[in-house]
Amino acid sequence: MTWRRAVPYVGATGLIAYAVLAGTAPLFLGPAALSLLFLTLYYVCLAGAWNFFSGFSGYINFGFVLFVGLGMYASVIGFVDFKMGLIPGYLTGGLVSAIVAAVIGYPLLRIRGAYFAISMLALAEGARVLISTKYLTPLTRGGAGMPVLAGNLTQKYYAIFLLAVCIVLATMFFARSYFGLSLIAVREDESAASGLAVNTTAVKVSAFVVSAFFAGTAGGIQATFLHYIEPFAAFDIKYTMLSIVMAMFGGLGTVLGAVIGAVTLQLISDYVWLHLGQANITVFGLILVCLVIWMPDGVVVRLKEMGILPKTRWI
Amino acid sequence: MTADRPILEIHDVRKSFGGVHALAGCGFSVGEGEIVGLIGPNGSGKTTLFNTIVGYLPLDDGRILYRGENVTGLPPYQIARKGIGRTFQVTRIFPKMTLLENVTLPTGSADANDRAYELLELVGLADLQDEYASDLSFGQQRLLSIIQVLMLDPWLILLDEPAAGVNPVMQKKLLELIHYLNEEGRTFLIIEHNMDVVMNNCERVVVLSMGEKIAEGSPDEVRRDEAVLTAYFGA
Repeated sequence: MTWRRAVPYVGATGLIAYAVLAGTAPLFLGPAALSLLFLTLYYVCLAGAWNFFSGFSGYINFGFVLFVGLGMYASVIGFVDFKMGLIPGYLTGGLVSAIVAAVIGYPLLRIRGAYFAISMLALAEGARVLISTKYLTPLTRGGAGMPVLAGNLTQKYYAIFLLAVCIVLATMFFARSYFGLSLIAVREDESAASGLAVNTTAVKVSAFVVSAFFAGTAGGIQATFLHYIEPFAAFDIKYTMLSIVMAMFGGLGTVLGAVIGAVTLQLISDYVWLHLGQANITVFGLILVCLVIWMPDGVVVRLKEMGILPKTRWI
Repeated sequence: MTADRPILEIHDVRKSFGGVHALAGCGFSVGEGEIVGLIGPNGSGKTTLFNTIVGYLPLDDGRILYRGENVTGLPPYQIARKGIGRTFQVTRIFPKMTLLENVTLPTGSADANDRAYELLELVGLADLQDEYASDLSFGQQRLLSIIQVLMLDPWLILLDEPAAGVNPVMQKKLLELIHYLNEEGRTFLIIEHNMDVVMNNCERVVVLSMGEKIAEGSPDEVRRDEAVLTAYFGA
């Protein structure tokens, strides 16, 4: 079975080629194509950030957009009201989301399964409503939204590219560490892990905060790409759903799963949209159903189980 | 027998679930270096007692001391770090982690050490170290869960029915391992239904019934105890 042995090499070559091409894309791509690639990388960031916590811990975060939306608002307010530079503005988005994650993480991460998922979903919806209320209007401009002009396309493109690279490398480093190993143990059997000296609360909250930081930073970059944010766009549940679907497709709790999922599904969805117009959602849905039947745990996990990829945590 | 300071002291512990008094004022102590059997009919509170010792269940009342230090109410990971390890009646390993990852986790580091390889070798699982634990047989998973606990370098080891569902050869190997570790000075408290295992390997036996200690002594003393016979056979 020589093809089996070839898979890791072909895969690695493909990923490196993709990274090199994506890293140099502004040199040879026009604005339209660059924007499409920007969106793909944005989803690599979101799926990667979601996977960093939920993929490894098994705590399925259905309110992930809370951190994306907060990051959007925090960085746009930074740009508009505080005249921040591009990088400080983006990092402000990440930091605000991270702080909120730390505050809600302690109480919320005590509840498991569906209850955690529902609480997060409710929090994300609540945040959207709160942002629109008159109490926060002086800061957020309520339903009227906020326009933002910061950076040019190439700068924003490099920002999202660098963030995507950081997230992948951070996940790889994390997966190899004791921290990552103990979060996987939490997913597999939380109370058994605590009996084997794992401080489960500390591990969960830390990963939750890092995930929120990445999501908030990505949100900030996306906000400048959109030029305008308002509560429904910033807290769009689509961001949560796509992150989950992409991370699951690629392989939960793996390093490369989120990249493979985001790139593949974004390509499929662009292609289907381009060629089938209104039917795209139906076709996309059918493709997803097939994938879930054949590879319920995602591409990377399946390849590991088949022995094609080694069962190491850093892939 | 318990001339030195006991490694584990249980004082009048109580735990109820609704109207069920799982532990109704139970107390005994375990000396350093002993192998103590904990027996009793089903529902007598043995596993509940284990769960309270390692911090999985909060006590309603009573105190648990480890080496003279009050460990009541500490979270499980802190109790584990102090050197108390336990296995479960129903084996709980981490299925989608490799064997090596399973045994390195308790060391608090992601780098496998010599002891991890040594223990995998000892139970004959070294060749499978890079496979997922879910691919192991039931008996192999049980062995894995025991060496996992040993990776904590525990001085008090609580085993919940270690011999159940393990074939006789493995059982013999397991008991050899227990005695080997005991000679290193490690203390064992073992829940076991297999009376041959208890009688031949434990120096002392504690008998629970209805959440209370009804007898304590050498295997022979306990075997002849009226209260024990009544609890087991209702005679």
